[in-house]
Amino acid sequence: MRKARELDVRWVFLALAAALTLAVRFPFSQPITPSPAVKAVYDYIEALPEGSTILIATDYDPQARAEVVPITQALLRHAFSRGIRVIGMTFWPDGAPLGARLFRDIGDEYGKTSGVDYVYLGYKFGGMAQVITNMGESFTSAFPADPEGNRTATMPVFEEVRNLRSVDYLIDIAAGETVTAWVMYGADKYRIPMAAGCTAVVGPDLYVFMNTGQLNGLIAGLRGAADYEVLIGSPDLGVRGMPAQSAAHGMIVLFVIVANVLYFRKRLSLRSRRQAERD
Amino acid sequence: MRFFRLTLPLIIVFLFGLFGLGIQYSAHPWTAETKETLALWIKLIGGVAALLGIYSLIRLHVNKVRRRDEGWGYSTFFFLGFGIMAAALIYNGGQWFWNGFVQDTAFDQLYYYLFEAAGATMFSLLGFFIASAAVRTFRARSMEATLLLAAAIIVMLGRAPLGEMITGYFPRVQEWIMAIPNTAAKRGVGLGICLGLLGMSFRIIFGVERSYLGGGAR
Repeated sequence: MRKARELDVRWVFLALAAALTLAVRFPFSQPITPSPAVKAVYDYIEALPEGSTILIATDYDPQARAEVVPITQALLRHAFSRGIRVIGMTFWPDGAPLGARLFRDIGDEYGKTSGVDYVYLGYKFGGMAQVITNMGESFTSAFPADPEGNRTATMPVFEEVRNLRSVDYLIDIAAGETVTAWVMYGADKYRIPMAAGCTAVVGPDLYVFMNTGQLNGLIAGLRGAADYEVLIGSPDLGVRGMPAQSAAHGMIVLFVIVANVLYFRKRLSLRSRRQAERD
Repeated sequence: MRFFRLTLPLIIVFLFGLFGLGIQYSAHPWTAETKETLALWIKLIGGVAALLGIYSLIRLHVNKVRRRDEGWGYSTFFFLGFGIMAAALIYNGGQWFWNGFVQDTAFDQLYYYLFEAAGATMFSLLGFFIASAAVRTFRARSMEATLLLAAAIIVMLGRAPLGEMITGYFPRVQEWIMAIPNTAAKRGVGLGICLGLLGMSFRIIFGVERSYLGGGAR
């Protein structure tokens, strides 16, 4: 009886694993209505004229890939489909090969050429303030070569886009605290409109910048990626992950309710026992 | 000895602390150049610190293996992982590391199929720990706890299409919780942290806080 009043966490793990497995194996359709924060990013990119340039910072490592890779893919697809040039870089050394692969794969999907339609500059060692300020002066001096050793000075993409001031939109996709530095030293200093993509855990920290208008949009977590995929009409990893997210969140809520019911039953029985002892 | 161990570091910290603070308030070209030089110094110190970190990590695991400490077997995996990844990156598909990064080499294979997969697996385990923590801690014990519990349930359901299936209010209320009460709390915490940092910086500059010198407050 005592055991029935307390929930064994092993049952929670087992039920969660079963729910996730079933949701992935037998996906079900659900309504996905994009949030205003995600739609703001989509609308801004949609309004940019062809030939504009956006900078996407892939500030994450492979640990966060389940959430941030779908966001990056969706943004790259949207930009490339509209003929927008993309410059990529990262402040996370572990994430540089992952970012480079994403740019290459999505670029190939749309027949884009590295150095012309896009470039992934890789990781730059040094303080964020210093590197962003250097990019504010000149991309080619901040990054003399891309990770493969190609000289940036000879790249057509940098003929018009000389520095951060020439960038039309800045997006930091973050698994950590890089957005603050991008806002302070990049977007605010050079007056560039900025948005962010992030893991769901980081999301609550960034609403502060949404309220002040320093970020004009936010794509948070796998749900954000799914919203963006719906908006660009290209459902992929984000939308495919939604049944699992629904199942996991639903299961956790269910267990929280069950745990509370057991807690109140236990409290009631304790109270009635004490009452009986007093009588 | 006391002069070199205590007085000199305190003088250096005091002078550099005030200098670093002061140049932030000047628009003179000299200060801009000085800031760049200081940033270079920070880069150099970072490089040396990275080397020191690697040395210290290797020493820790060497000692563990040598002394056959509990779990010493895991330390051998550190050497395997570190050695193989470093060797693959240095070899760089036959082009060696001083040339541009070559794609589709052994390093790429290790990164994509081992490091990336292992990292994502570790992170995904977090979901199970969050579930377990939520079940064990979310109890309606008091008014505050009940509010937290309700907010958590609304946000969890609002962030998944499941909530939208139940009622369209979940995503909207979730968005409101994130934009208003969450932001208010974050701002309060953020301001507190900033004031704390400011206070700590002044304590260090003026030599009140000395624990970074080692040996406690002596």
